[in-house]
This record gives sequence, C-alpha cells and structure tokens, in this order.
Amino acid sequence: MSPHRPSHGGSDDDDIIAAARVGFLDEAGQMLQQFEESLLVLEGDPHDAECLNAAFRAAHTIKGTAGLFSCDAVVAFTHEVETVMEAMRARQIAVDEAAIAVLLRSRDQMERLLGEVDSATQDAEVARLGRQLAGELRALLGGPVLTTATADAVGTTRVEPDPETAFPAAQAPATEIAGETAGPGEPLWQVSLRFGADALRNGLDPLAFVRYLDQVGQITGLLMLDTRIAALADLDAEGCAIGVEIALTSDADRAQIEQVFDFVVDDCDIAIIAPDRVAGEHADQRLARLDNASHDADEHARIQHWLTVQGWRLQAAAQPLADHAPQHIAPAQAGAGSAAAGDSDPPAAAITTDAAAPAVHDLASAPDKRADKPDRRVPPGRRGEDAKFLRVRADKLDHLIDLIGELVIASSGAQLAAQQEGSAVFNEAALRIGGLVEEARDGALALRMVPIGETFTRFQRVVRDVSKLLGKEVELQISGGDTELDKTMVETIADPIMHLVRNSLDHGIEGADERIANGKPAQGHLALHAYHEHGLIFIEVSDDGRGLKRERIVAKAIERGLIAPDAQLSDHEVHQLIMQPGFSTADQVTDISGRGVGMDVVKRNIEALRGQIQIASEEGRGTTMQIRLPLTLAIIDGFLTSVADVHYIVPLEMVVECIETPPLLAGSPHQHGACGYVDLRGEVLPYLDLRHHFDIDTPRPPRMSLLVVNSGGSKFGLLVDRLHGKYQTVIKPLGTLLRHLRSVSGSTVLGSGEVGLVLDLPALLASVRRPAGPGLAAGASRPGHALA
Amino acid sequence: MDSALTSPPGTPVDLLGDLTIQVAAERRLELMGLADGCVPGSPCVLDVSQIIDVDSAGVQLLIALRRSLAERGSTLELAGLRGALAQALATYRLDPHLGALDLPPEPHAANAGVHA
Repeated sequence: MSPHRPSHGGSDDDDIIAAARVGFLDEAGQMLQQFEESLLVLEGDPHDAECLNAAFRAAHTIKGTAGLFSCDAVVAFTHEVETVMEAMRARQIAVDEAAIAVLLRSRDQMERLLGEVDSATQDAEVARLGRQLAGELRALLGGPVLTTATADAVGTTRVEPDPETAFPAAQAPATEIAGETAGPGEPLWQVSLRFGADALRNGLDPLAFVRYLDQVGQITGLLMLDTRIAALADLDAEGCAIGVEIALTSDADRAQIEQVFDFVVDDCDIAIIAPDRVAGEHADQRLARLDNASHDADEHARIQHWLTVQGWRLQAAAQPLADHAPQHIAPAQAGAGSAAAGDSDPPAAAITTDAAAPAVHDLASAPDKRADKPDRRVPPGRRGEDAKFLRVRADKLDHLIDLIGELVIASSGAQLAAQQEGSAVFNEAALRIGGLVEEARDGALALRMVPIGETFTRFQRVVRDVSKLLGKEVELQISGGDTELDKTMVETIADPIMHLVRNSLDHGIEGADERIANGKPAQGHLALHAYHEHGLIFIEVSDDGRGLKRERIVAKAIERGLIAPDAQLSDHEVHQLIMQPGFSTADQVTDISGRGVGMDVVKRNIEALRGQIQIASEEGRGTTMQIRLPLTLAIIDGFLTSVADVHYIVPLEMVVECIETPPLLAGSPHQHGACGYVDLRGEVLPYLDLRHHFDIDTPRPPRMSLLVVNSGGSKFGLLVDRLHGKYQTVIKPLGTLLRHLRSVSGSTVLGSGEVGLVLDLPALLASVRRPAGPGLAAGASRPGHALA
Repeated sequence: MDSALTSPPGTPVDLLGDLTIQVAAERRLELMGLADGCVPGSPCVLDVSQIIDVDSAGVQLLIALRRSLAERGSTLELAGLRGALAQALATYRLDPHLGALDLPPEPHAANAGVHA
C-alpha cells in the first residue's frame, strides 16, 4: 500500500503526492460509478458493446492510476476484473446475469480497496473477500469456451492458475510484461485495429494513431482493410469504416503500445498480439484468434494473405524480416520499395519522388504533416473536451461563497451609509457595487450547482438489488437528471430519496401475481423525476403500486391520538399524517403499507434543507412523493419587512404583492387572535398578524401593510408595520438554542448590523390554516406557535 | 468536378481543395457525380496534385470512389500524388490505385475490387 512506499523526496514531494492521491481517489470514485452504470445497462442488454467498452475503460483507468500510486491491492484485484472484461469484449465469455452479478460485487470490492487506500488501513476481511471474488472472476474465465491457448494469445486475458500466487499479486502485470518481451532481437507485434463508426466524428483520426504508433516502434507492415467501406452511394462520409492490421517491431512493452490508443479505446476495437506468440504460428491460427476480425470472407482471405506475406507463418520473432527486406523499411520510403514489389506503374514513381522530397514544390502541406516528421508532441485525443472543465476543491469554493456572503452584507452596509449621508455620488457608487456584488453572488452560487442526475443513477443499483431481493420486477425511469441544485443539497437529499425509493419498492409496488390480479402489468414502475419551477426544485418519487389506504391511516391516527375520532380530513391531510412521528413504530409497517417507517425522519431531513414533502396517492393506483427544495441554502433574494423594530425577511420569489394599509384592516373586524380574513378583489384571503403572532407589545402604527405571499400554491397575507423592499439575504442558520422555532427558519445580519429573521412560510401557513381546521385535535396544532 | 462529365476516357480530372471530415459529406456528392460521369470500362484518372489537406475520411472517400467505379466496371488511378495525400496513402500503405502495397495481388485473391 502506498503509505509504505519508499519516498524519494522531502516533505514537499509528499504533499504533492498526497494531494494528487486525493484527486486519484476522487476520480476512481467516478470511474466506479461509470463502471456500475455500464454494467447495469449491460444486464438489460448484453450486446451493448459501447457499455462494455465503457466499463472496461473505467476498470482500466482505475488500474492504471492505482498503479501510479502504488496501490498494489487495487491494481491486482482490478486486473482480475479487467481480464474478465477483456474476455467479454473478445466474446470469449458470455455477458450473462451471473457474470454481471460477480462484476457488480467486484465493483464493491474495488470500492472497499480504495477505501483502504484512503484510510491507510488494511482489513483481513476485505482481503478474504478479495480472494474469494478473484476466484469467482477466474471461474468465469474458466468456462468451456475459453481455452488456455486463446487466453494466452490475446495476452491480456492471461490467467494465473493458482489464486495464491496471483493474489495479492503485484507480480501479475510484471509476469505478463516479462513474458511478452522475452525473446532475442526486436520483437514483432501485431496490432489489429477496427475503428468504430463514430471515431472520425469524435475527432479521432486513425491516421494520427498509426503515425503515433510509428514512434513507439517501427511499422514494418500495414494492411488497410477496406471491405467495410461502402461504395459512394451508400457511404456515410463522416462515419468511419477503416480497419488496419499492423506489423510493429518495438522494444516497448504492451502497456506502452496500449497507451498509444488510450484516447480511442471507446471508438476502436483493438487487439494487440505479443511477439512470443507471433513466432512459429500458422496464419490461420492467428486469424482465428483475432476477436475483432470481421466474418467477411474477403477480409479474412486478405488478412490471411497479408500475414503470410509478412512472414508470420514460419519465421521466428528473432529475424522476422529476413526474407522481406524490401517491404519493411521506413514509412517514407515504403511506397517506393513496395511498389517495386508490386506492379510498377508510373504513378508509383510519383509517390517515391514526392514522399522522399516533399519540400520541392509543396506549397500546401505544413511541415508537421510530412510523413517523415509526424507530430511528436502529444498523443492524439480529445484535448478540447478536457479543457472545458476544471476540478476545484469544494472547500475552496465554500470559502469563496462565505466571502461573497460577507461582501453582500458589507455592500448592504455601504448602501445604507450612502443613504444616510445623503450624498448622490456615494449613493450611486454604492448601488453600482451592490449590483456587481449581486452578479458575483449569482456566479459563485452557480459554481456549487451540480446536476442531480448522478445521484439518480445511483438508484439503478438500489432498485436492481432491492427488487431482486424482494423477487419483484421493477423498472426505474429517470427524468430531469440535468436539473441542478446546490452540491450540499444533493448530498443531503440522497438519503431521504433512498428512503422513499426503498419504501416504494418494499411496500408500494406489489408482487407480480398481485399486480396481474389487479389488472396491472407484471413489471412495476418506479420513477424519479426532477424539475425547476417557481424558484424551487421539485423532486418526485412515484410508483404505480397499491397506494395509501385512507381508512387504515385514519384508524391508526385515531388510535394513536393524533386526530379526533370525528375529524373530517381531506385526502391530502390524511396522507400527511403518515409523516407524524407517532406513525413510525415497527408494528405498523405491514398495516399501512409500511409507509410510516421513518417517514418522520425523511420529513425532518427535508425540512432541515428548508424544503417540504407532499404526498399524493390514489388507492390501488400508486403514490407520488413530492419533495420541494429551495434553489440554494446560502444566499437568497429576500423581501425585508419590519414590525416595530424587529426585521423579518420573506424569500422574494414567494412574494405576490404588497398592499399598503388595506382599509378593511383598519379596525380588524375580521380578526380572531393572530389570524383574519380580508377581501382581496373579491377573493377571501387569510392573513396572519405578525405583531400578534410574535407577541410584540407595541402599539399599532396608524398605517400598516399587507404582504401577500404564495407558499406551495397557497396564498395568504402577512400583516406588518413597514415594507423595506428587496434585500439580499445571507442566511445564517439558527443556533442550537433556537432550532426548535417553527416560524423562523434562519437569521441574517443586516447592513446596519442588526439581526433579521427569515420567516418560515410553510410553518406560518400551517398557523393560518389550523384554526380553520376544526377536526384537528389540539395535539396536532401545538407546533407552530413556538415563538408565540 | 463538373468537367468530369465530358472528359474523354483517360483524361485526368482535377480534384481540388481538402478531403477531410469537415467537407466529407459535400465531397461525397461531388465524387458521386464524378463517378457517374466516368466512361464504363475505361480507367478514371484523377489528378490529385491540387489537394491540400487529407485525413482518414478523405482516404475513405477515395476508396469508396474506387468501389463505385468498380461497380461500373471502371478503375481509379490517382495522378500527381503529393503532399498530404501522398503521406496519408504512404502511411496506409496504399498504391495509387488504392490497393494494398504490402499485399501483392495473387491471382486467386478475393480482393477483386482493388484492381478490377
């Protein structure tokens, strides 16, 4: 393991390595995610070559970078995984359910091993699991289709027969390299490339790879395979149908040759045959092993012919070129030499002249395009895409956002001072700064926004595992994965969603028999959906299961004393009952489709994010759980109001309108306690008198204002003394002492240094509603008047 | 080029500009016109000395042209090979007929399209 790696440098080097290691672990995590996603797709469609390649590539990247950091256990185990994937790509073993299951468990093992790297610990149990899984992986390879000879020839599918020598085996890759480079003289490799249809479109030119390969060794022979290239009429001009067989003499090892194709593995079938297998083989045998050779008879015959011409039939690797010297010369002269061997047309002479002396009248081609001076700077690849993203440490970003928060407060202070000074110039400058700070705030907050899709896709595995465990057939549908929300929110919301998904799988969706009996398709349907609306983020978890049973919930709620026996509740109110703490005892799990389990915890977690959860359910048809979250936790556009000398802030996007001193309210004729009703252009609008609600003992001013707000679709008014207008609010969480308050969700520091309270509108709305709902028992209405 | 339509057999037809992925789609149509204009049974000689840039898509286009011509009983010959195209063909070990240099034709070989 890396902590015990011999150190070459001082502490500076160690710091750099430590920092890079964090990056490695981070990237490995993403690769594992990609690996898992690809495997899950493969489980549904075993013939999806793209996903197979993606999974292979992910494993390959993990192995490669783990090697850089001397994480030997990771390398050794991932090598086993890679071997299996390679054999799958070569269609030597089947991509079946059993294989995917082992690979998925291997993914978990890789995660554990990476966790050990992270914590610099080693667990005997993990090692034991590793040996067991390595055994299972090898058992996959040991299937009847795979013969030892085949495995050896393809090279990377080499299998160590004895588990003990192979694991934990840093030796495994070393043995492989030693085997390949063994043999005297310059080894002759065969590199077989079949480019995918999208290679050119993805900016990957086969020419570039061939030329780059020519620097790793010397290309002594090349056969262009053109049977896949259609005639013009049927040609996809931007597609790629090019394949090449290459004979390469090189002292490089397999890894160095493979590295040439690092950028193109997703867009190319690559087979590299090691020199020790090249010697003394019959062309037919070689051909049979080329997993990516097409089944086209013409192409087969051509490759066979070419291999024979290349002298692969009889010659030893030591002198592969002896009898074919004229054909195996440097690329720039190859045209001349080989043309002499073939038909000698006049144009062939033209090649010779031009290629050997390209500068004579060559106006058009740039110097670096000459065959004798290929681009040696960097391997070809997708450089453009890499440059679009920058990896930044999250804590740096948090620090920046904290600073911007302080800047917002300071800017408000400056604006206030400017107003008090009464200086027009100062005021203008302060406003200009304020505008810029606002833009900077939005930009900084956007940096923290990440799409929720990644979190959603993790549920593929959960749904797969849980539904298998329960013996149910469930399809997961994901939409709106590109909806962005704050990074911390994404992390925190994953748990509640997990809870809802498990609940749906466990209790919502019925078994296949019950579903068919109810006239539903046997396969259950679970959907995760996210979208933006009204400055909020909505996340929905819906299933087409049995739904919530109203009578049972009501009966249970009465039994628990949560509602009065004669209560008249709407469906909505009944559904919300399952999130009451009293519902989450274990004996009720089966009684009310189990949805009471931990729902109060889910609700609490979501409310901690200033969010809400709503339930819509139709018995027998399914349930939808809707989570509403604010766009961000840190800074909001607020609307500042005050009652006496206390400042209150409402999120600006929730403000509908402001009404100055509504005449009807002058004598408060319709007010009972803190709540009342007002006629708003013919509409009955409930309102809450904040002075009364917060027990502020100062006389009412002659003029008051009504702030009309919209919380989750319900409109209501807040009666305040003064309106101050839009105000950028940096939300500071309430301390532990005040956390139980229901009407206030946070606080902020105003420019003047005073403290403002951010109102929790959903909680206030509940206070407005409750007196109107006579059915609710006193117990349920208790929270909500916490500050009163 | 349009002039291909009226060219007598064996007269070189000029091909200008780039043969790259960026223009592959339009050049395909152009080459189709050229193939249609070639006299069946006689070789179509293409003067490629004025071609500027070439990538694998361009090489692929020429191979497709050769195939289209072969379907009409005609053959393709590239004249004036130089610059980027000469280098691309050298890298791919292709001769001016776009046949494989490393693969001398054998009488019974199945690569009939190469020297049809």
